[in-house]
Amino acid sequence: MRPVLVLTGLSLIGLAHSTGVAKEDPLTPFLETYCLECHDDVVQKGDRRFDELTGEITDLASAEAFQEILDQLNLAEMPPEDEKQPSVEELQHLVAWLTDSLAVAREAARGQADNVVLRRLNRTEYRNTIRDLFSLPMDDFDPTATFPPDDVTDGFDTVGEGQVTSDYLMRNYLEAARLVADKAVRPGPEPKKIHDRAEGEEIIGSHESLRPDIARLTIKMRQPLEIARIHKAGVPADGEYVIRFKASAYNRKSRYADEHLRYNSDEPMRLAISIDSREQGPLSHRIIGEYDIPDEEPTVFEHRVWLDEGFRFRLHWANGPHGSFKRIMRKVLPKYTDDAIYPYRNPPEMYLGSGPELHVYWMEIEGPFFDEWPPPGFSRYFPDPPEKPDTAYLNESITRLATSAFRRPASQEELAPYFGLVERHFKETGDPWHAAKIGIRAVLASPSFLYLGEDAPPEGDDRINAYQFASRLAFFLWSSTPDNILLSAAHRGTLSDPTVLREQIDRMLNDPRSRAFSENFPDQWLHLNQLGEMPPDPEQNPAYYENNLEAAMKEETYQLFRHLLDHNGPIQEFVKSDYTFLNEALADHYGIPGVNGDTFQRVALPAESRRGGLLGHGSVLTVTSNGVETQPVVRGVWIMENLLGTPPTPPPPDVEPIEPDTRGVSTMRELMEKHRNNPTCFECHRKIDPLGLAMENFDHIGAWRDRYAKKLPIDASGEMPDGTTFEGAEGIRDYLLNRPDQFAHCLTEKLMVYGLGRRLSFTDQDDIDQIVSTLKQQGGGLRDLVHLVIQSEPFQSK
Amino acid sequence: MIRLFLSLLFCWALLPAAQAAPNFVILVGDGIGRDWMSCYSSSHQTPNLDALASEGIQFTVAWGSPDGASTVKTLTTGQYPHRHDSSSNAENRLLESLRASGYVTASLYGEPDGTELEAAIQPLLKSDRFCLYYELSHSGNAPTSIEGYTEYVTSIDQRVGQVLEMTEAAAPIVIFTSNSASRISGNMNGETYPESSGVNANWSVHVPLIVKAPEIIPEPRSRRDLIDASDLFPTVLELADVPVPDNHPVDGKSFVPVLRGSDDPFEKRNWIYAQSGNFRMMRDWHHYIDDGGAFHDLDKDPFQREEVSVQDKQAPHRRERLQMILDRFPKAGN
Repeated sequence: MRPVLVLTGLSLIGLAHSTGVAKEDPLTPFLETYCLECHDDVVQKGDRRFDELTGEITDLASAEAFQEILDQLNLAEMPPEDEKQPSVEELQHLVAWLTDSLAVAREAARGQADNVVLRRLNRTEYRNTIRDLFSLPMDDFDPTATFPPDDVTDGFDTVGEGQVTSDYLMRNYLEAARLVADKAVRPGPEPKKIHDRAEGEEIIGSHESLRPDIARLTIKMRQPLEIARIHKAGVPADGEYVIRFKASAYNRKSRYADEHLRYNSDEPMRLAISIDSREQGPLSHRIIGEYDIPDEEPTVFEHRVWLDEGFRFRLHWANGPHGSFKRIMRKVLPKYTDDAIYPYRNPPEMYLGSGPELHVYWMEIEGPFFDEWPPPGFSRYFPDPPEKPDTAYLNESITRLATSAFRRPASQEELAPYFGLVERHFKETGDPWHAAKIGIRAVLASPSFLYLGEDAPPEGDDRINAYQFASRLAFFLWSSTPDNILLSAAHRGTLSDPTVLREQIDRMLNDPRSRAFSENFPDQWLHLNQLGEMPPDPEQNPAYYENNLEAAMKEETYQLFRHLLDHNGPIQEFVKSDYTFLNEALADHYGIPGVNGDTFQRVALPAESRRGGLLGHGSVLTVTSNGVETQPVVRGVWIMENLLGTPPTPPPPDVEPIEPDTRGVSTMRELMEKHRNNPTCFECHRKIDPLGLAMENFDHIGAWRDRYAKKLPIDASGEMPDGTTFEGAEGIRDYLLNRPDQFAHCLTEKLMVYGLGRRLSFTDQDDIDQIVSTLKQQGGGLRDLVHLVIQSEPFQSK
Repeated sequence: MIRLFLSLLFCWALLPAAQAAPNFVILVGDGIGRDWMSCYSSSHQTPNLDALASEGIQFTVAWGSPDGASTVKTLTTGQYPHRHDSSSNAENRLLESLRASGYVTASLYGEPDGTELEAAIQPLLKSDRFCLYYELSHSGNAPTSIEGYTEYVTSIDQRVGQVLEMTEAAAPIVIFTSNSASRISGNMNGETYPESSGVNANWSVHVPLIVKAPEIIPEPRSRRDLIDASDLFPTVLELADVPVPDNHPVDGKSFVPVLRGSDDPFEKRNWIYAQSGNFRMMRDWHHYIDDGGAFHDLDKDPFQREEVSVQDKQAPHRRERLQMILDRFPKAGN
């Protein structure tokens, strides 16, 4: 029942002899009386079988079974309410006995843990590490693009156990190292600047124009505007460029009705700048800026951006009329003049100048500009590069790099092979910078860089050393390599001082790099990274795409996490809050008035609002649906897994899923009643389904609904196996708030798995309980929880 | 006192130009095609017309009709030939309408000498508002040789220069066009222009049009808006703020919005029309169609030498549209 407790690599041999609690075993008679009817060699509801338990913890499986039985009894979930119930005394006695047995076993197991987790950088960590080591802008440079997807274990891609290292991955590491070395080594003079400009009809992509002095954009998706030379060749070197253009909005309100043009004339026209690289193809395309263009007032705009070599830019009308120009000429124009024929291609001159247009007078690009030259990511390791570097200079440089890249001091002996390699290439080619690149490539292909290695600790001490601790901290909070401040704190050994550690953690959480934590963690904890895997139908849900709701939904959840982290807000606000974070599009989606603009803002929610807390977030509601309809079972499982921390067993493999009712004559609840007819299903689904069904007022993209499509009523009431009844999402929130420790426990576990990079074992439970109870005393703030997790024994141990 | 006087002057200068009725000089060349004017890329030098073009707007797509007399009638009535009234041959409805609103008008024809010009223009300059209408035709026989035609065009250009110089002080709106294409072919862009006489085609009705209107013409100086002869009448009346006479249907469309720099195609023409007897012709920005079954892409084929490619998927649509509009006009002329 609790896969997070599964231990691998943990040896419990010898436990049986050391526990010695078998004398008075109250478990066996209890099981016989209350449990075996459903969990023996004949019937195994929930895939559980207890007839083989001896009343002693003999191995890992029995330890887990004990823990699970304890949890179920504590939660009053078992035995089922319609079955024979134990007396209060019986229960108290057994719970106490189980708790003791487990504590003893855990203590015994702790000393024997040899779960050395060798984990490597995942893709995100690799990218961020390269970014920070070489101060490289990584927006358009992804050396990990061809890496295989990261393996996910227990919901997180930081966990070492599941990671597979293949020949394919190794080849990718070598190639990535080559790309990085080529980017990072920039000796020689600053690259020459370019200044390319196109005016009026020199601008490529304009609509055929009666006025050659301007380029017109007439619809949203039509060919964007480009400068010919840049479009062909891209920019000549990596660096910062300035893009400028002069534009004005023309005829924002015109004679055409908005619905004919599929356009919103009430909002200011917006011009977007996008970039891409011909070599890297369509995937490299992204929008780097959007500007409101004033009406009938030519205005100059300037945008600074880092561009990698070969990238080029374009201007588009972000919110122009939708569809094709052809449609306007064929179908719209004839509605307005009898000189046009429906549905023929009438001359564009009949339309141009009469509808809304975005005019661009000129556009230009200038650069590359550098704050300093040579770039800091190069001069950090290769200071004051001489014209002809010698071997000594190269060796010093490689040593500097290795110290940063290995996240610990690198000894000269250890580096000798690297020096040899560099020297050989220097001799062979006579090119010191080529040799330097080879050296960098070797460092970046080294296991000391790729793996978060934690060597076996000295006998009797399972604490990790200060450098390893610094790395753990950095990868937990930044998904990146420790910076010099952390490494030097490790060097001085001050991280073991609680005050220093506290300061460092706060410094790290206040650093922009902590965005990796406040986004990656919720992404994986709440499955936000799966948004878009089952996208809603664009025809049925146009607003979802036009208003970019997917990104907005994620942002709402990120902002809540960030808010609680920054302000040490109580973690219970994940469950229920009287505020949330919205932009105009998402507020419209939720039916909340008074929010304007694209920028996210904190919005106070009225008392009757159903949106406060994760259960009202569009992100969560959408990711638990399949793009067409809601999936109450998935929602129920999601709540059990991610808020209650009690993931249900996966269904037996031979069970057919419920067929969706495409005619829409039965409600979801009626369909799911089928579960009740099958006792195997019912055992778990009586816990899952009430939670999921209570969320039915939120549709498949998280919009509120009072009824199903065919006017069928929604029944959002539910009853849990322990007899608790509730109504709707609000009811689930109260159910969760009545079990504050359970949610705190769940979140702590998730943070631990993410931060430790390993699965939890039942030996960690004491520490988690400890964290939960300390957190409760301290007021339950998210930032405090992060501190507590880092200060905990497991975080500082193997 | 002086201060007060100065500020009064200042106020007067701020009055919108439109409030004062403008003066007009309308110059209609007789058989002067673009192929004889250097401002339209002919090798023949027309310095006075060039100067006019450089101060005004030069239209690249203006149509008259194959018959000079018919064109003049359209220019002065705003009506296509099918409406022309054969009984009132001498009538100039344009000048008549202007006079009815207080304009002093004068009409000149042929090749008046300097004294005659002076005598015609002087009274106009003394008036409150005036319109000089001048058909720059030849006196005597039409020139039949290249040399003769060269001399003839040069003399027209000189007369244009003379008139403009004499009227300069009145800052008139100047309109120059021609009643037909050249009778003897000139050249454009180094290419000999095709023979126009007796031919019904785009090039044989394609005439020059230059408008100089101080204060109301912004950039650009060259426009490819569609204008035909019927448009002059409503345009001049609108500029003069004179109503179109009752019971006088007008086929033309005022091109004042074009002069004011409008971009809006709904204020402009999307086709132009010419008629010679029963033969009707029509074009838009790209395509030409006529009663002889011709249909051509003028961008690719300005002299109508080849069929439109069957690969051109838009062409049939454009043809259909032009045909629909062409069929709105009755075939029978007067």
